[in-house]
Amino acid sequence: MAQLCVPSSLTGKGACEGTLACSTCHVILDQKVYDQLGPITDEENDLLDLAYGLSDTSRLGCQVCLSRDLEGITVCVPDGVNDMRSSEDTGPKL
Amino acid sequence: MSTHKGVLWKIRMLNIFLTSTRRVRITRLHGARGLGTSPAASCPKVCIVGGGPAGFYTAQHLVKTRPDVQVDIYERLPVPFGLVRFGVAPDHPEVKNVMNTFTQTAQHARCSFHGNVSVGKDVTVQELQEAYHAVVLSYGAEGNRTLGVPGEDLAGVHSAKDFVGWYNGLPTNRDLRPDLRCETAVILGQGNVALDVARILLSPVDILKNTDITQPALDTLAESSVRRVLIVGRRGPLQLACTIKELREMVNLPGTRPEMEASDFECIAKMLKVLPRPRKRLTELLLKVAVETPEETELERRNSAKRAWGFRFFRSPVEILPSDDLTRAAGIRLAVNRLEGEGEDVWAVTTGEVEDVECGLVISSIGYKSLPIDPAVPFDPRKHIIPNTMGRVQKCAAGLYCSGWVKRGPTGVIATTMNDSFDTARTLLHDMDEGTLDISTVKPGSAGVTTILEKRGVKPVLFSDWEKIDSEESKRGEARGKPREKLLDVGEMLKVAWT
Repeated sequence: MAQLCVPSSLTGKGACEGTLACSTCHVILDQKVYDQLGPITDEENDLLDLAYGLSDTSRLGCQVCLSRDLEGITVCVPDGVNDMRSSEDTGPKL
Repeated sequence: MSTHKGVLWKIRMLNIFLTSTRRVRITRLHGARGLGTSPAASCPKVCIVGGGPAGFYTAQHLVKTRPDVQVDIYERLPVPFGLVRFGVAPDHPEVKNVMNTFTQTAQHARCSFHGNVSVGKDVTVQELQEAYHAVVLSYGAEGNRTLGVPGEDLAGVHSAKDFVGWYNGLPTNRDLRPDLRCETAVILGQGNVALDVARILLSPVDILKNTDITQPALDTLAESSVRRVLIVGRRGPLQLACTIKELREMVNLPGTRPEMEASDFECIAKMLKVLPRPRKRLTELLLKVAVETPEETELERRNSAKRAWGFRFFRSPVEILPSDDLTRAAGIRLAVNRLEGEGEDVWAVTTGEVEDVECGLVISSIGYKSLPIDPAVPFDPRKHIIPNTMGRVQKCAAGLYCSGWVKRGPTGVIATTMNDSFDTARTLLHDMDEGTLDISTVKPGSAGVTTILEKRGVKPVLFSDWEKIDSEESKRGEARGKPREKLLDVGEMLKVAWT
């Protein structure tokens, strides 16, 4: 799914090119679709922890294998990719 | 791990909705890879100071959004990419994939890269403001916070910035020559940079030898006597600053075992249920490693491991203790702390007790720090950033912007800087649209700067020149089974760039 994001107008998604090193391809799925997908590895969960707007049906787009079964699904792409590692302030905490 | 390479299934009716209230403009990429027209003399011209992630992401957003803007990136070193090249650990090559998108930006018809140009020295910011409609300062943080304790200048004490620069081939750290002939290393600070340093110190050389770590660093690490690394923080386990991916890498590091003080973790388990997910998962992993009895195979693995690492909590450095001949670090005196405050707002208070730890290497990983670049640019001496509102520099005439660490402070990952850079670009574009930034005059852009540089005997390294350096490094790396063997000397880089 990450390959759909990279050439499109969705700037900044897929920064690590699908290698489980960022959370910019974070997508939110319908419960039904989420339940259809395979299990989530620790590695994917570790990065999801850092994603902006994490939900109970979040996945990293680069880890979702698209197939005919998934045709017609709706995928929500949170606009912000600021992850938990960023500071909210406009300067360092002193 | 699965990446969706190869045939893309044709998905009809794949609807993608943007959930935020912020509208994202859908535009086409103009002038990519030699297509598109050259910029007109009267087009808006933007200059970016700093060729790292902030610079490139700001440039990317500008050229993508406005079809007439020309962006020139100036970088002090002959090579681009900043901390992606010099900061990201050698064993994290996938994080460096962003260099591909930066390369696309640099090769865009309306973007150009000028390396080997030191802004503030070879050309002033004022001169840049005369040549361009807008100047974006994205030069990052080349300094580091100091401990402010006696013994900080002893041999054997290094900032994490310098140590990381050394193993990543930053020319200025080429002669660091850290002495690794000691058993214990103490790292002060528990962020991801501290964990990178610990991992590089303890990784089996067989793992490192196929990365882009520099050969001198690899040789030094191969001879290293360091067997124990303590990663020290002034607060407790619930304030641990690193993230779970990096902790998991330490836990799984071959040939190593964790060694921590169980007493540091009293009262932590019962806090788990109220923690938000990221902190909860991090703390669960930490407890598992530090406190729980491992099952048999893991116990055997730990017993046969020859290297150890561990967090030490509630400790602040008071003094670095010298060797008998007073020339080098031989230990560190740590104050024992307790915590005050509640919830997120918790701080360390000394108890009066101290503890001495024997060690021969002290790495201070308490934060990078930006420095002022030019007297014409306002600088906050307390926060060490350029004062700004949404990337628009305050307390000066229009036309000056900033992005990245010099704008926000030196924290966050590449994706954080990416968002921040897009924000600055949006502010700049908004100012162009509103007329707050005057783009009606004709400005000389890089032609004007080139004239100034020529007079001063400074020759820029263009992106095509960098590609020769890139090619040479890849060639040398191939001979050794590494992705690249970095050139370590600016003189050598220039020689290759201009052949």
